[in-house]
Amino acid sequence: MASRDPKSQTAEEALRESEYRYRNLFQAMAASFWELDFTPVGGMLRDLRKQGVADFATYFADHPDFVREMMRVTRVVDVNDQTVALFGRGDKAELLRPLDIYWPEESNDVYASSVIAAVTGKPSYASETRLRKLNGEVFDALFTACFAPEAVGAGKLLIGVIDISERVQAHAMLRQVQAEFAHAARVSMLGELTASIAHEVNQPLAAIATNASAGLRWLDRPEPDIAEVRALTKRIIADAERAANIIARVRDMAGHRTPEAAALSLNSVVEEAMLFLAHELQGHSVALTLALQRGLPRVLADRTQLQQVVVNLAVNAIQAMAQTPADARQLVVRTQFEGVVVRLDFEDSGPGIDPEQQARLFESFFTTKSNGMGMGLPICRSIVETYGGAISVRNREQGGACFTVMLPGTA
Amino acid sequence: MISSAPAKADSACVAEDTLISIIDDDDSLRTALVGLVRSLGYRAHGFANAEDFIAADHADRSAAIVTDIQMPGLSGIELKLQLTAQGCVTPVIMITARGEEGLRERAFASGALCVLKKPFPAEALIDCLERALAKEPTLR
Repeated sequence: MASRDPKSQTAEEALRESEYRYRNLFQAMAASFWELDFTPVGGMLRDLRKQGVADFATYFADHPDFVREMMRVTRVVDVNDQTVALFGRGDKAELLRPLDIYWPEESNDVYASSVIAAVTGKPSYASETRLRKLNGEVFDALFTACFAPEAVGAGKLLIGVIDISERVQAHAMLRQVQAEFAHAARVSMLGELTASIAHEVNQPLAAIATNASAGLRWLDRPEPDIAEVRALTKRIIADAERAANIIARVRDMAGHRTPEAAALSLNSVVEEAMLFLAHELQGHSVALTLALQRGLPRVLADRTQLQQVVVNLAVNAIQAMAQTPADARQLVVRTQFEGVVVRLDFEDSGPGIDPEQQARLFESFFTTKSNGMGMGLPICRSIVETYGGAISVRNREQGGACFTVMLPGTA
Repeated sequence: MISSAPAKADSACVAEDTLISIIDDDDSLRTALVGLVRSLGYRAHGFANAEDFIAADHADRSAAIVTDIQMPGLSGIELKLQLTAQGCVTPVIMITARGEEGLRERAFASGALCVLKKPFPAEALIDCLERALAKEPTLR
């Protein structure tokens, strides 16, 4: 083609060549391409305007039947071989029909948004959605539409569809595997914290047993002291509730449910995590300082998983200070916000981290502990990254290490 | 154990001036222990930590001391060692929620009269108190 003399090209030839290239592209691309005739949709939208409807988005959302009707009057004019392979059953002609059969109800909003993009003069539109094959199977697709002004003016639309079902499935599987790992790590962490948890449960149980015995003694007096017994009984109820709450929180931590992101107060997550840590800190003579900045923006994460990160990093810090003199073991847990980012620091007074190991610390199965599996920090990282955050470590100037979790704050 | 712990309630008037000090950082358990000791007919005073107890100068006035082992600041064992160093012979009953190895031994080595693991039956504590109070006058 490059050898051709441009001067000899007539307008007709140029047009033919352009058409030829377009046909070739249309056929040769690996994606599914469709040419649509949506002329009647233009008429429907003009009528809407005449009726005084200005906000198409709201109207479409309130009138799904209208959206379905727009699909029904949109005809498939041409498709490429990829489309036949992806959507059809070997016969191209079978596919040239109204568009609605390919659009399940659940994807109405994507069709509506693409119409709005077209009429508001956007050059193109793309969205992940679900589309239906002729055999009825619904799959995950990336839908793209191009609104070239001359084509739109002629009532023509070119759309592309890429099958992303494998990618979507792989993502779902990855999320599930991550959740499984996080759960396994949580259970193993709970195992390490058994002594502390037992202590937490034993306190209210001891109080209940003691209060009940005292109550019996007041009742057994020659003149039973009902007021004392009433007060003791109230305390027994409160202690039983306290024990039940502890069990509930341990059960949450041990449980295996699908992680659910919610807007959380990071400070309250840190405070709740102290249930698992208070006696661990005391037992290892670690002085804890909570420096929690008030009024933090909330963070979007799963509560149990975020608690897991807090407990894990605190336990790491406690273990890192095992060789530090008991009166010098200090852990500062700090929260603050920097712009839109909420920051959580764990500053210990241990020996710090060997710079050569620093980079590998978050790798799976890398451990500096004789009894460690090397999964704690990688799982912390995977959890934090799931919620759009980052985790890092540095050595502090005054000695010791500082692990930092950054999470995006919600508005 | 019950047989060795006659109901003190009957002799409340005799015991009323007997003071038992109770040291535990857990508010509800401390309150419960104070209540139990009161139901036995003794006076009881609770402290949230060993430092407060020392500051109140209650050691010599108490007929017995019931203390938790793990507390923020001074531990129950450290408290007993400090009291002994000061020549205070008030019997000390230690309670703990922890079952770690060697803890009982260290507690007894420091001079504890009894070591009870939480949760314990009230009778076990009453039994210890009986022993402490039986012992106390002869040591004074």
